[in-house]
Amino acid sequence: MFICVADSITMAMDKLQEEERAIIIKLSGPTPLNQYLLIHGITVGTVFRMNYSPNYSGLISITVGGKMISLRRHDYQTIDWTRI
Amino acid sequence: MSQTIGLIGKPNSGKSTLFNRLTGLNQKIGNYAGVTVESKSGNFGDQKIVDLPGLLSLRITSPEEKIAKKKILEFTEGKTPLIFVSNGMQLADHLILFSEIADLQTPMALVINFKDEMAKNQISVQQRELENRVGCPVLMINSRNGDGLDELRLVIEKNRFKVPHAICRSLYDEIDDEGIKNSYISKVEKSIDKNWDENQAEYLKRQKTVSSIVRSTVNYLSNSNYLTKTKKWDKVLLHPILGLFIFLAVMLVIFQAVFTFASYPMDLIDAGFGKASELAESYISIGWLSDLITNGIIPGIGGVLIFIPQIAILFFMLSVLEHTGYLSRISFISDGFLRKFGLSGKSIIPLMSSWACAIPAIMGARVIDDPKERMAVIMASPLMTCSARLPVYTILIAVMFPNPSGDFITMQGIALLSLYLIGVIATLAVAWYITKRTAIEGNELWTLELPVYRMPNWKNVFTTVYMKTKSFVVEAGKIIFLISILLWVLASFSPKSDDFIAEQYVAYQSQESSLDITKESFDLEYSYIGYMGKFIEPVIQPLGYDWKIGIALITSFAAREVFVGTLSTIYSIGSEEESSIIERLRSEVNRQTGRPTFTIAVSVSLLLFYVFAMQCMSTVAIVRKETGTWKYALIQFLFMLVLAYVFAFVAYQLLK
Repeated sequence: MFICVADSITMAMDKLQEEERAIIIKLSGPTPLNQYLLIHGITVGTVFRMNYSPNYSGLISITVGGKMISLRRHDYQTIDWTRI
Repeated sequence: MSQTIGLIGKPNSGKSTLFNRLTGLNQKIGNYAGVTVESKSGNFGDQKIVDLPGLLSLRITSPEEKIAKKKILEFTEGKTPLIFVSNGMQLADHLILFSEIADLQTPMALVINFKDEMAKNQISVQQRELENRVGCPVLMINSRNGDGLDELRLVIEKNRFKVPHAICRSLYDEIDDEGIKNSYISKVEKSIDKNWDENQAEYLKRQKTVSSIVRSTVNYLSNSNYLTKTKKWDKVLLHPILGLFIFLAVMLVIFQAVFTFASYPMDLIDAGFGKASELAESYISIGWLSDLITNGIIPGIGGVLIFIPQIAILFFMLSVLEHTGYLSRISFISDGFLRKFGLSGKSIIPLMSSWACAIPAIMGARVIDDPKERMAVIMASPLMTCSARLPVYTILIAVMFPNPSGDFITMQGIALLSLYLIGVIATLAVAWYITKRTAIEGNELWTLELPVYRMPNWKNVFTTVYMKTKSFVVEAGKIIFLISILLWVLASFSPKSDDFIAEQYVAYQSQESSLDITKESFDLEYSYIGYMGKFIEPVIQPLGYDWKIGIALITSFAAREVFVGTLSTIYSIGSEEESSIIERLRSEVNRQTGRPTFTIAVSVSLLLFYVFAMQCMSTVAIVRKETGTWKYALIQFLFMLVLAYVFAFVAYQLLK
């Protein structure tokens, strides 16, 4: 599969706009967290879509594999991604 | 032949709805031994169906999932059939867990739920082809309306389960001198003993295989995104301003329902049992039997049944919120604030419900997935100011601040608000301590799935309400009833003879300085509880209390509001009217010191005692039921008692 990479900077997921899609390029968290994310289908190569990142809750909601999953800030900050 | 069948699946797969469909009201809800994880089993014909806790993967080891995994491994060992329930809208994701369980090689059936939503989104499954690919029966159902259930019933009744094809099991083949051995089950038992790369490789292989199965058996005829409607609703319900208003409005409705609406049926139950006591008293002529029935058994049963409206209403609201998908949004909205105290957004409803009553709140803590957080809420929520504290607070505040001014803000109002705030602060502090400083096992990692919005399934909602209410009446009710009878025995019998008490009463009345004390008050003084009050007097004296207050402290263990009734009896007020009690307490003089008994120092001390002390046998009983052990109920009772004593002591010593 050929992926068109628009930018490949490392920044927190909440910088993505709503409905923007991105691909995970690196997981830099501790192994238990990576394992936990893997179980939710979040790993290197996973494509996700940003749903919402409201400031009041410190959570973001993304769509992965047809599910809407919310992650806490200190967890999603360990995920490196790039827009597609 | 009777057999056990396990029901397993990921969260939000509709597993519990299917369980309710199959078993109806023929269920048993309890706890797995020593933990707060709920166990549910029920009968389907002569088969026993066990609803296992939802799990994400056999590789995850959260406490709840450990139990599910342990049960699955037990089932595998005994070749017990498993029904795997999957969400048809997320089939590729759910089949990854199916593949993990399939590799254990136990008989299974794959149930694809939400058939109706799949049809609406033009998703079709080639059922027979999928059966060939996975190797076990595949059934399409809609657990909410029962569509497709007949086929599943047939599979259960005729025992048509089949061992599915292994998917990644060969990765664990090991060759030794005796031949090929497979170590998959032992690796699953040990959980994560492999390195991250291997785990990821296995996951990716599963994902690849499952994707290939889904691609060849499931047709997506439309490009429509089934999340579109949900996202539109979320634009409103998770909006920074509008969403918060709706959240507050929903919380207000829940609070109002549990606090106010429930009060009408509760008053009816109270009045009904009061009337029953009166009738029993007038019809039963044998003194002790009449007393046992009117003051022991009837109030004991009433003390259990009175909680039903609050429990039923709270669980009705919780079920509706859960089934519609809004409960997860409430968690989403309130998570940021509660995280500071080690909790998540799921704690908000149980915590707020405990302003009405800790009993439904503690039962409501079952919506919290994390066992550590659930334990924190169970242990901390009785510190919130429940409605039973209000009669005690209003009387003591009125004793302290006699004449409310006509101002909008009065000292009485400020005092009451302060007590509520102390309750909230204490609750959050205890929750923080339990989540951050104790060794109770919890989920260190956290995600929240936002399910699609759906109309609630009313049958399922009412089944949940019925089962929760029944489990309270049957399990906690027994303990509450027994303690009620024990308190009645202690308050009704005396180590002294009736003649002795009568002589003492006559002798007291003949004294010139005697107060106008009723025989009933005298009986209470010479009862076992009276002696207990005197026995604990040296311990409670540093708090500013005498033995009379000691008696009220002991009797109000039945329920906090009993404090008022006991004071009314012991001070021979002859009425439970608030104004009469306040006047009497203000004029009460300590016989030893000659000074008023209810000074500011004593009143503040008592108020703080009631803020922190458990003083509610029903809460003790429900904590015992929900945690599955007396250990936590006793720890909670003791730590709240210590907190109460320390705060009351400090307050009295500073203010006296």
